[in-house]
Amino acid sequence: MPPVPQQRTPRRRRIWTPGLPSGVALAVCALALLGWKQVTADRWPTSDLEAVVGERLLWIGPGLGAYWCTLGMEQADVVIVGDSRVAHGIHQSIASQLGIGKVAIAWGHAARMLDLLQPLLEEPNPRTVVLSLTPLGLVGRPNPPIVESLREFHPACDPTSPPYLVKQWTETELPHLVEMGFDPTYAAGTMRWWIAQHRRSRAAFLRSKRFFDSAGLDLRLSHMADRARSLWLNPIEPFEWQDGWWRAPNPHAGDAYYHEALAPAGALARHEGALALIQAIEQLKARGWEVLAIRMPVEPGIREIEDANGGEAELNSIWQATGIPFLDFGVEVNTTTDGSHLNWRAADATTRAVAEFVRAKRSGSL
Amino acid sequence: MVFDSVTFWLFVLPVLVAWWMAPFGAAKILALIASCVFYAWWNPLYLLLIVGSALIDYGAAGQIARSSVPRKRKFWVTVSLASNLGLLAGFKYTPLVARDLLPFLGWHVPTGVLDEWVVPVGISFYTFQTLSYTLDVYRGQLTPARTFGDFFLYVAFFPQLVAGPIVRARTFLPQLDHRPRFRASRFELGLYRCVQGLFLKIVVADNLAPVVERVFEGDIAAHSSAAVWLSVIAFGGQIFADFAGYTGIAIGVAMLMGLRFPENFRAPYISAGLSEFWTRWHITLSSWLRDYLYISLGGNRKGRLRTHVNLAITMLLGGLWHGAAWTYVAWGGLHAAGLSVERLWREACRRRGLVLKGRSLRFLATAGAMLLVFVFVHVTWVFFRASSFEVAWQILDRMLVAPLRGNAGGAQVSARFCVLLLPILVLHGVTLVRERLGLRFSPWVYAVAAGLMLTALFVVRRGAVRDFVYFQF
Repeated sequence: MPPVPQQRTPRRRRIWTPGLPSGVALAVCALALLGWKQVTADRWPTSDLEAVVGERLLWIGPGLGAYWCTLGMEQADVVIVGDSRVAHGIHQSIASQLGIGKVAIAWGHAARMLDLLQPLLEEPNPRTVVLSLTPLGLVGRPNPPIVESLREFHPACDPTSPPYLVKQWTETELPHLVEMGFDPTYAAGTMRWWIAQHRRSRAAFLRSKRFFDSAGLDLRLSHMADRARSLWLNPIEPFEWQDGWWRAPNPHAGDAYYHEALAPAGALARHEGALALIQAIEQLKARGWEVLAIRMPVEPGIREIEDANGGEAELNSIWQATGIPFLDFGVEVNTTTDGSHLNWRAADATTRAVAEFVRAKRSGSL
Repeated sequence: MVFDSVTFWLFVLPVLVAWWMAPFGAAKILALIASCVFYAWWNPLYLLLIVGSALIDYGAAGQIARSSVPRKRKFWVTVSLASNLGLLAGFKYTPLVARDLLPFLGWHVPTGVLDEWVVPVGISFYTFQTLSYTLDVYRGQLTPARTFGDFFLYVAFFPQLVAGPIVRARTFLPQLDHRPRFRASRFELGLYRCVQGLFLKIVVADNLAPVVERVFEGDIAAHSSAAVWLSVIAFGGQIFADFAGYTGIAIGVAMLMGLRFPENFRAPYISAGLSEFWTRWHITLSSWLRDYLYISLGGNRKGRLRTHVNLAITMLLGGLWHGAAWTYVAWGGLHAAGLSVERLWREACRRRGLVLKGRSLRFLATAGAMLLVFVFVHVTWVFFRASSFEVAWQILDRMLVAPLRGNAGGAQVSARFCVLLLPILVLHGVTLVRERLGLRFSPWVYAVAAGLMLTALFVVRRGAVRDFVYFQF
């Protein structure tokens, strides 16, 4: 009898067996994320911080330079006026949640505070204004070659201009600046700055042109994913590393700009600036504005340069003459990105302190 | 829709399900539709271009295969060459000609028109793919695709459509004959490649970009020589991470579908020679140029002088392929010069019987050669990245001449960004260990690496979403 072929039971086909490595990868990721969340919980108290972007350009014009405002001044209950230190060091959205009403931050070059106060003097509805004072801001030196070169719209302002047009413009602009009496080296540096600005904005323009044509949905989804991630984690980006783990102290303390702008030769100009500011503050008070003043924290090296040559005395004279409450944050170590601009963690604390200061003034305890 | 966007992964998920669940014929049609949607995402009109190009090449290859008359075969291959190169020249090099050559004839094209000029995404890649198809059929190395659907899927297959790797038809078309078998290990490897690619792009490349832009798009003269060197090295890292990341994702997605793509990078910065560099960097392009251009020109079969001339032509055209700017040609020219010098050096060593004796001496020579190649490649990257010769000269001046003048000071770039180069270093180190010592790492090591890379993707945020560098080519 021939052997009966044995019928094999069909083997069940395994479609998918998760291997060990995938499980290990996911476990490592989950553990690392938990660890990260734990480690960063105390270091970064607020995840809802905004960057210094998305501001409304206030005005730009001949001899005025550019100013920015995070919210229309007319809509704000508190207007904080200052320079880039305020823009980096005070978070408008956080300040607006601290019970002092809506906050607007108007900022431009430090030396143009008087210009920034002009719209407030014309406002029919006086509220609270916080002035961020710096000795640098009294010098009255608003980066003049750049302001002068902004007297008319030129190719470097336009990212669509081809580079040769910008080069041609700088070749005619440089002699003009020198003729106007600006230092040739400084004027040449300004022209290089414009070329670099244009190169950067043109590259960004060309890069984004194709991308944004088709990336509407991509961007929206990325934003949603980013937001979800921020709610759970404390994500970082390398720009924040600059004020993080490996930071060098006082990186800009030797900056020639500070030394030059705050040199003894400028003492008279600073004094005149202080007198003009006292006058403006008196006008604001007369119109019903509640005026307060602060001095943003900086690194010790920068503060030393600023206070030398009578800088601190000049600032003190302003609040003493006007009788406005003044909050000096003093010096801070390892909380700035470049010696004079706060990192976002320090900005969070400073914002809360400023809000507290405003609240104390309103409650009459100052 | 780019690989590092949420949209892409939402798009890939149903494509994968359909690919594995549907009958193979239907799966191929679905993959074709998905590829069309992927490409049309940029601009639906581009689709006409790619369909037109594919139709011409499919028709031409068919004619070549059917005919045994040499003149007729030559005619059809010329049609394919002319249409592909014409397309490439028309779309890609018109602005270059209009900007730099037409003014010599007294014709001036308004700059607005040139600024608005958009090169269809991936045109350099798919024209090279279709060209390789007709040339392979012409050379008798490939039988034409059975259906236009198969051929169009080869041309337009979404993982490799936009920025490579440049897959040859003889690699891809046979894979469309039968459904590939699903293997969990391969699927996992595909996932690993995707995670690694995303990590390289999002965490490494996009976060190195600000350091690069700060110098290349900023005030170069204000930066110190060290800062400029750091920026150039950062660019070397950025372009590697960006492109290797992209092709890694492409290879990974293909693996998820059970398909094989050729590798495009093998730790290029550990090359001990420039010719070795080109066997490790953008391998699919360099092998394409070797097979279809260098060898067609005669390669090294027509004497020493012609070899160097052929090398120069290949590298100059390779440079021009990367972009419509003379800086790319200069980049290609420098590499051609470097390859020629290396060739002459090797010939001289061979003639004189120069062989290094002793392991330590050989080790030192190899390390020295690696360093030399690394420096040379990074100096040439300056031309690749610079927006103009003026910028390139300024950067080279700060890098090479300013220290000799004793004028190397200036603004610094934060050295902290070097930490982003670490993953690239590790990647190269792993390849070096694997190649030279023959060591293999356990899957556990890869799993832990994948976990850490995944974590970094969650934790590290990029300042701005950036296009893949190779999209512009």
